Amino acid sequence: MNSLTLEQLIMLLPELLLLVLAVIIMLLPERARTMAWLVAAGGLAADLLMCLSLWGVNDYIMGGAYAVNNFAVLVKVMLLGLAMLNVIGSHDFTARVYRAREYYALLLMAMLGLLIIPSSMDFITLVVAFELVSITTYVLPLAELNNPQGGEAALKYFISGAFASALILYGLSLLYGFTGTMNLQNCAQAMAILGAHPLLLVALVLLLAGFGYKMALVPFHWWAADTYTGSPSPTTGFLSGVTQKGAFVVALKIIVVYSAVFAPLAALLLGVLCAVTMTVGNVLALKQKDVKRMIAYSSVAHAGNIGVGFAVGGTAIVGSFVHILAHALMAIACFFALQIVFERKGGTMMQHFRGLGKQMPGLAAALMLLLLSFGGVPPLLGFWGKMLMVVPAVGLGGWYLVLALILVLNSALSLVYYAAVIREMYMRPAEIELLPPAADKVKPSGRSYQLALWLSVALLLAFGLLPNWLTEICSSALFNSMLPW
Amino acid sequence: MLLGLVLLPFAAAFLMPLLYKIFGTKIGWVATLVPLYIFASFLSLLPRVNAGEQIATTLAWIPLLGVDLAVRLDGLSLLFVLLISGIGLAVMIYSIFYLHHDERLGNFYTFIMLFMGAMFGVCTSTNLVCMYLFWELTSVSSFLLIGFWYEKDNPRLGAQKALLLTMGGGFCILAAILLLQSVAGSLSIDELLAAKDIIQESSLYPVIVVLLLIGAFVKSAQVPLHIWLPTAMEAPTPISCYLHSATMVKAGIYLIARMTPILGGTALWGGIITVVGLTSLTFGSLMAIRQFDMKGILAYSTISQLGLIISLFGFGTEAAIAAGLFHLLNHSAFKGSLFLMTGIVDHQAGTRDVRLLKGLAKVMPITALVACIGSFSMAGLPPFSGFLSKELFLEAASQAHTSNLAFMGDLAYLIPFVAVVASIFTFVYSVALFFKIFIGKQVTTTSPKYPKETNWGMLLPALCLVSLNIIVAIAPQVFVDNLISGAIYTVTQVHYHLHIAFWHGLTPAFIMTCIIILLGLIVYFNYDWVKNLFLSYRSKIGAESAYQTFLHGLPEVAGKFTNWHINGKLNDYMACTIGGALLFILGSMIYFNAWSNIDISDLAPVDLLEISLAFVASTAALGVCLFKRRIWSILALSVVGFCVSFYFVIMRAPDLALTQLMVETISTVLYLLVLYKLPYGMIADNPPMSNGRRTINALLGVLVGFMACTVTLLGQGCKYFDTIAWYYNENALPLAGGNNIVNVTLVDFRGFDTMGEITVLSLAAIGVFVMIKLGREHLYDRHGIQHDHQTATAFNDTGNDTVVIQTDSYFLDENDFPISPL
Repeated sequence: MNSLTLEQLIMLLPELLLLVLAVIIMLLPERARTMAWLVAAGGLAADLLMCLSLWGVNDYIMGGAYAVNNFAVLVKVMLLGLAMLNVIGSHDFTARVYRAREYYALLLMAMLGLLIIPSSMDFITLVVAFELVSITTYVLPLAELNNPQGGEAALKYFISGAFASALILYGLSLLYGFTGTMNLQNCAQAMAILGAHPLLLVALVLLLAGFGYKMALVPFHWWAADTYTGSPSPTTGFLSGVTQKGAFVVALKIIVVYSAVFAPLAALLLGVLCAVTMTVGNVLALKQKDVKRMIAYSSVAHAGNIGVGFAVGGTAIVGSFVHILAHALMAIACFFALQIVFERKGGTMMQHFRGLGKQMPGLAAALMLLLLSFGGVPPLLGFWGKMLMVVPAVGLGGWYLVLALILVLNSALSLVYYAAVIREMYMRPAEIELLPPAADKVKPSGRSYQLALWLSVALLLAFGLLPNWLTEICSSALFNSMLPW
Repeated sequence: MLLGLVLLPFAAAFLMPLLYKIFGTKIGWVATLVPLYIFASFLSLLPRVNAGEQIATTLAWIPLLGVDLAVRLDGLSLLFVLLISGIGLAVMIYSIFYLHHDERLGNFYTFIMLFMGAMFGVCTSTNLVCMYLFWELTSVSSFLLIGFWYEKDNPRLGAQKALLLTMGGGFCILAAILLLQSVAGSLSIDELLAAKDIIQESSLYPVIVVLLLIGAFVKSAQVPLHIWLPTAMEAPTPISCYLHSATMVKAGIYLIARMTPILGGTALWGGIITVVGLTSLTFGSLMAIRQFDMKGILAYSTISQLGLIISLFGFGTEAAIAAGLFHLLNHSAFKGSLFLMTGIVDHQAGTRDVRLLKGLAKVMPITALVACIGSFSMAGLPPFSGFLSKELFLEAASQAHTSNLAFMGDLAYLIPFVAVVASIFTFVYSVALFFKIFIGKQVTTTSPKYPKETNWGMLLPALCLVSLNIIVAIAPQVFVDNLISGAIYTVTQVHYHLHIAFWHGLTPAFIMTCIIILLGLIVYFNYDWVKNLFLSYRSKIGAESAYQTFLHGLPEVAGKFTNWHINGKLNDYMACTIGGALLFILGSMIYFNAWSNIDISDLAPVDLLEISLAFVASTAALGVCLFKRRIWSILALSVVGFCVSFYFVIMRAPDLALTQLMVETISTVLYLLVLYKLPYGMIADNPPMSNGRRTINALLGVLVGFMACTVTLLGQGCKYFDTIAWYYNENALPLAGGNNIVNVTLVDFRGFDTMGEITVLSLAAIGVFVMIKLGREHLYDRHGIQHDHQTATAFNDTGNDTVVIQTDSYFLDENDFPISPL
């Protein structure tokens, strides 16, 4: 094992900074909520800049277990940016929950795990980082003490997650036993030499099932709706917008490892999973009266959408990444919007949305854009991701064509329930009066929600109208740093 | 320049809310400037386009997909953009006077600008994906405009129906575009045109044609996908005029025309289009007779007239396509004016019901003039432009058997008859529209308001549109040469000279016209009888009931599925998850025939003790699943654990066995403690699982065991690497000074790991200790947080909950719970 030089330590600065910040936040005085918020948001911003400065570096450290390349930087910047949006919006939320410091400290620790994931080139590092993300986020739904639903959310999330970890470790032990290495590249080489074996396939399925949990792929999605609904909305935004996306990076790495031997079969497995996920997620969302729950199920469906790109491979992976960003932005913004509705109207059921177009025109407009983007209506960003996946899939023909068709049909189906919310907002008179914005210390006005919401919407629109820049960066990072190793 | 013109309405749409704040109710006048400017600009481009120049702008958008923001103006595009901007101008002037000042004018003009821009985009894009984007935008803006009066139920439902159907059609088009791209490798219309032969010989050609035509037929409201159009008439009348007769519904025709050079010329293409077009033509004209609402008549008439144009594209000859494009222009002129006329009548008399209106000509002479010219032109009577294009249609129909449809054989001779029958009823409802409403001895007294002539602001746009019927009739050749011939060239790719005159001699078309007028008059004089006859038939047709079934059935099915699927029980979730994972693992094992790879030659011999231990362990494991009482399950689980530690004893690993024994004992005690401490009533509220459910659990357990066994045996078979045992055998004593390799590994070789483990365990122990020490009531109270005594309310779909979850809420509760008897 090589020792770490100072030069290499610089590459680890973003990770170390997060660790330090998390500790600092825990040491802050209990009432310093705004301070904690400032430290977290500022720290993430600084981290983002640090990561950006690593763009172009291509190096392996820690005995090859940790890679710093454009792919890792891209994912890190993406996730840090998303987390920053989430933290910015959380200010008003933490102002009235007791555990503000813990909330931010845990969030930063989860981010630490998420920063390690794209860089890790070793299964042990990967799993440890993944567990770091999981364990910290198990607690996040409990941020609001007096919300019993948060307890249920956290518990369901935890038990499902623990089970998933067991599956992952079982799969990894098989993989290690077979290939004799935990290094991703060596593992792929060993597989290429040793050839296909049913044991490898079992390991793949176990890994997919284990990580499929966090991605909320059907049939490993059961926790998702209950957890997403039970958690406070800012937390849900983080879970579905940031941590879930980390699992996709893990999945991509595993698929790349397997691509040498099992390319068509792994793609088929993932394709079937995704097709089922999209359909089940959308059908479940169709009849929901609670919009938060509806968006939770739609997150399940979108997980399927993202996976389609991985299954198809090639340029479609760029589509997956665009869609990851799109869905993360949409989810974060949407859950903040739901939090505003929840605080100003007392709930997120369908009737709370009636007449919102008149009561809160700005919010309703933003929400409409988000919902249309969720549904993949062009030219919003939600459309381009799907388009980038569908076009290569159609080009490949065969069962990929069927997969693309299922994706398109599901987009159509999802529009039914997204449009229902828009209809409630714009085409029904209001039934529930707006609560006045209580701008005292206990219940702030919700300005930070608005800020995060509009930032996300602005990004969504900007990327939607000019997706070229995004696709170019994604494809260059993916095809130069990740796919050929 | 061209791109700027196309995108101008979008910019205007974004500015409209702002302009509304500045100009208030005068916003209509400001908004009118936009179509005026665009119409003038396009008109100024007319000579250049007619000279053969193609004005194009291309901006790379997403090179990765080959999607460009590419617009181009050729003959066909120009015809459409002039129609869109021209009629848009008339409609917007009209709506200034039609809409009340207290309506949401800002919204109205924003939506209409959005629509206009989207239509320009559809008709000028040369990149198919780009066109599709604008296409969907027309659907969205149409949705917003139909639902403009959303306080009422019907506009909402109509808007929803229109959106669902046209969006569905849009997805079909997208699918067709993607297939085209995969066949021809391009999204650009020019490159597709060059790859025409490859496309038509591809095996995907029929799929592409069908998908594309479905999308076009939905947009153009062709039978049986027309059902959204009549309900879309709930929109304000200027919108019905603009979107649902003059422009948006013609987008389908535009698509067919645009794709004709690429996909056309085959029996499939011609056959589908002709059959659907003629069916719509006949069906629409028959259904129009049944209507009492003036807009209903016009809606079905639109379906019918669009069917006529589409069937002309189906015939596929140059003459037929030229006739179709000519009729497109005329239809926009007469149908647009009739809609505006209907709006005036509605506005002045307060009703559109034909039963309540009569004799309006006396009080509204100018409106009557509009209605007269418009309806006579629609009926195909000379000397209006409708007659000219109707003649051309009949001409083309009588020669259908020589056109593309020659493959139909003798069936093609039926086409003229269908055309005549449909035209008879077209004649009847057109004439009735004018005579029944405007002509009569007395002015109506049954309408809500006493009708009187309206202001010039509404009359002028209607008069302008209707005068086109006469102007075109006077100088048809001017219009044909300047406006239509370019479009004909775009579609047919040959320079066809369309010659139009009122008198061609005693042609079959003329004879057919005579028959139509004669029979039409006979039917008209028995109008009430015919109408009653039609009304006696069932009104709900198949497509409508299919839509309603879909609309109400889908959520119902989804709801049932949701309740069954997400029941809130964590143990069901876990069972399903394990089941899902098993499905994939066993599935892939079967696919690979994993069992053939098992190699047991290297296994150590198994003796009786091991077998009997295995038997006990597996029986106990089954018991865990099958026992009804929880306490028995826990005890059975500990039996499994003890069996495992016995294995360690047999394998001569006493320290492992000791650890295992300790862990088993502690965990059993903990389990029992939890059960013992559970609050009173919790066990009673959560009866044991049903027999079936427990059997499923046992079955899942057996399958997991089977899988794990297979995996272990498989793992035994593949030893690609040397074991590392020799290293420890050789080095245990010299390096670490111990003979027991396990001990040496724990304390020496992996000393740091052991220390980490011990640390983790100690931390956990401290945590448990703190929890016990603090006690439940102090855990949160020391922070002074008063949480309300809210009982756990299950929020999942069916409201079920599990023991675990309920325990959790008790944990949050401050009260000390009573101790439950087990």
